[in-house]
Amino acid sequence: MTTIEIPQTRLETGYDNTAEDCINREPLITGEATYHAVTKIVCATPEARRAPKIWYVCFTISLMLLCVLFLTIAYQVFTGVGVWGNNSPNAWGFDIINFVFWVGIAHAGTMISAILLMFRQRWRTGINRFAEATTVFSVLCAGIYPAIHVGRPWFAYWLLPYPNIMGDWPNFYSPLLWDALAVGTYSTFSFLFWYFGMVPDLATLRDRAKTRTRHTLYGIFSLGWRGSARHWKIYDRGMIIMGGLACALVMAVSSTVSTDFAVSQLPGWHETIFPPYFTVGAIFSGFATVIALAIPARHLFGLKDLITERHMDNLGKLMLVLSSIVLYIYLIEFFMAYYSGNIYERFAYYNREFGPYWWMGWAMMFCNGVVPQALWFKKARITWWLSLPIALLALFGMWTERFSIIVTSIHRDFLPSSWHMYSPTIIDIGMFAGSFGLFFTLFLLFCRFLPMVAMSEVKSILPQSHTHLPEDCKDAQ
Amino acid sequence: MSVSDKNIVLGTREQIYMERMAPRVMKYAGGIGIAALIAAALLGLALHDSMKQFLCSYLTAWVFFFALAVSALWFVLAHHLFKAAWSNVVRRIGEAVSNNFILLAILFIPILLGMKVIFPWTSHAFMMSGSELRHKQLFLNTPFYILRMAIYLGVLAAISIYYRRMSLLQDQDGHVSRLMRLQKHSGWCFLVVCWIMNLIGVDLVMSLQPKWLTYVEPLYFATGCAVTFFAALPVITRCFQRQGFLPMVNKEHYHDMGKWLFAFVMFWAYIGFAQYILIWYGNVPKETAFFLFRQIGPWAAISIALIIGHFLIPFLGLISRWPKRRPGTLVFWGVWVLVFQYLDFFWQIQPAVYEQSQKVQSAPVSGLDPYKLLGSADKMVWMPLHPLSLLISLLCVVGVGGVFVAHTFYLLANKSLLPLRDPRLPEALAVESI
Repeated sequence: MTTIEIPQTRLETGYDNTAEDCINREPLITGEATYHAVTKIVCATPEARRAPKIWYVCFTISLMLLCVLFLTIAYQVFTGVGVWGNNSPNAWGFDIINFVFWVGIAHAGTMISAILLMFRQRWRTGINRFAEATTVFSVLCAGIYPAIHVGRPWFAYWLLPYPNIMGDWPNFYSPLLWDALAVGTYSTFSFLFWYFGMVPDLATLRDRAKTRTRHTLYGIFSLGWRGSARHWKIYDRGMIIMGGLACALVMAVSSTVSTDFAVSQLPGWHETIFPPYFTVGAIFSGFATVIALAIPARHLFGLKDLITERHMDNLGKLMLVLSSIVLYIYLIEFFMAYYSGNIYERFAYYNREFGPYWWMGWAMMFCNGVVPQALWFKKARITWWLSLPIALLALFGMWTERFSIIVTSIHRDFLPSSWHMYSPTIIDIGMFAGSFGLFFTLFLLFCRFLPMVAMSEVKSILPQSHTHLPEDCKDAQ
Repeated sequence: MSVSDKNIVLGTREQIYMERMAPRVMKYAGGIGIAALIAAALLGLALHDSMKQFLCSYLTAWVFFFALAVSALWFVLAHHLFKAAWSNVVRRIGEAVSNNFILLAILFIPILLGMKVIFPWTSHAFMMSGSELRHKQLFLNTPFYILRMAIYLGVLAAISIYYRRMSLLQDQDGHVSRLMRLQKHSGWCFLVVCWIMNLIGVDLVMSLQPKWLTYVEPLYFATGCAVTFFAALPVITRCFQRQGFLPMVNKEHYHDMGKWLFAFVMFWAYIGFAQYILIWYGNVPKETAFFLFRQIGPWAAISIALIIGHFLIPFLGLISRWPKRRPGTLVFWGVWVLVFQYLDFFWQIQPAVYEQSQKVQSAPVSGLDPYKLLGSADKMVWMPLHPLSLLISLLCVVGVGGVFVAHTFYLLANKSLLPLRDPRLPEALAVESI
């Protein structure tokens, strides 16, 4: 009988796998890289009787913030949108700033799952589930704003082009309609993508369940997965097709959101670079979120062997690339405003950096364009106390970017008599804080009860999954 | 004699070194190129238009081959930046194609000599004709333009020479430290090249119509550049294979080339659509000026042909897995996209030169009715589509292309077509595409 020797990698936890060596490719997984070890690490949290104490503290805070969200929404729905700080000329304020902010964050998951899949970046398997979860939850947070912005949310379905007895249709020329359709499609798709990828892992949890309730619940959601070759074939094909579609969707969603502004004739809004600008900014903020969440998660839930320093290193590099593109766009905007020779165009950018909201303009430049340049240094990418503040500053910077684009462009109208400052009300601020409550409540529940890392995908990159390859090429897998 | 590394037989020496073919190609391509350029110049003289059409066609051809070189450099830098393996089998092609910037700088001299004919901002009277134009003088002036072009081409030449030289030296001494150095510098070099690819678009295309404003044009130009090499790569590789070189390049590598081509075709369409829809929706005169002439008559046909030929048809043709894995089919799509990419540069540059002509500018209409405007413009904007003009354009492509090809083969001659001592070469040979 012929026996196949299965190569196994046994490395210390915390092993530095970030070396930039041309001869060998460092392993993507450290510690005990066996199928069983991966299952054990990932299932430890969902199967634990109790979560770490810090989880309960965070969950309580999140629930409190979630209550704030419900209360502010209720107050707004019963009173009217006048409770917000929006007023002429600032027709748009926190509502759309926060919508764009959350839609942006929603881009990392699909980006990692789809575009990095197409680029054969196998390291993505350690963080894709995690990132997809942020996508699903942040789209939910984003979806709140347009729904309540209509004033009478019970008529929100009027946005949909359905045949009705009045024979009227939504305005197909309106980017707000495109927006609703794009974000609606994206949220549905990203949920399906996330769930579809999780089915084999849910089946693992079902098979390991020690209580009847767990067995039944995980059993229902794993859709009868048995792990047969036929199932895997369908699964693989489905993931590739969904990945390909998701690539186009990632590009489409923020591009569509950008048209909310760019189809107008307002200097500061009407720029043909807006679609790629918004898309890059969105992916940038998404990566910042993934870094900001991955750092505590890998420490708290013992995932250091699956989300290794190399993952953090690569995430840092991607953030650096995106920050550099964002910086390019900021500078091109200034150049084009100058090149236009038009006083209104020039004023929009002068006002952004030297007007009353100058600190917002500079904050966006500093947090998104300057601070992430520290990621050129490896130390900044793999040291958590350096990369975490960079990621958090980037998130803040992306919020200020949206504020700068939206409010700074409209608060000084063409007539100086129409110039007014924008100030958010307590309801605006409460609703924004509450949206974090919704996000973190869902995210913490996900961490507690669902597999945080895509077990089946991580197993596919272990050396023993590629016993047929020549020795020279195994490291590369 | 067989060439091997790490016990992997790569083929015979004749399959990796272009010892006999390169001098022949150099001779023929160079000869044809120079002859074509002379013929184009003579035809240009015969038109009695101050060489306007010749310069216009020459600029288009120059931009096309500049795009090829700069995107090849982009590809080489991306290879090192991503620590890629598969592209090792075609890296030398990228390195040779990208080493043409000094030649391109020399070939740019006729454009500099004829600047006054094609760049309206060189006229002081024109720049003083409007307040917005007056504000642009700080940027759009002859000395600064020449300085910018010198810096752009100088920096690109320096980076491309450095990357090729280090790569060839690594072949000789086998020092991995050289590759590590290339990898280390690839980050900032990549950034610099991307910036230049964008900014040079302002000088080469946007400045032909100084009144035109669009924020995304630099990116649109850079995307068009990137498409060029990814379309040319499978074509060049297949041509080499037909001559018996690089037998180790297989369908897995073609699949990867096809994916890059498909991605950039999509990205080109995305940027083009973003630009068009926002300009159409906004309907602001300083932006619509560009599309005004390109939406009527034969230019409209070319605009529609670009949408269909540069996006829809190759999109459908390349979306499946199998065309990307069949070298012959991929070569067809490579040639197809190259033709349409040239057409895209043609469409951006050539009408722009005539839109600024005195007759068009002084047309006594509001500018809002393009048909009236064109009628009174004495059909000047159709000039590039005149059969003689088209012949000049074709000769310019053959001319600049011939010289470009000759120089590329000069660089390839007697140098290995594979980075033989790159430690990732075995991985490149065993690559499997998903």
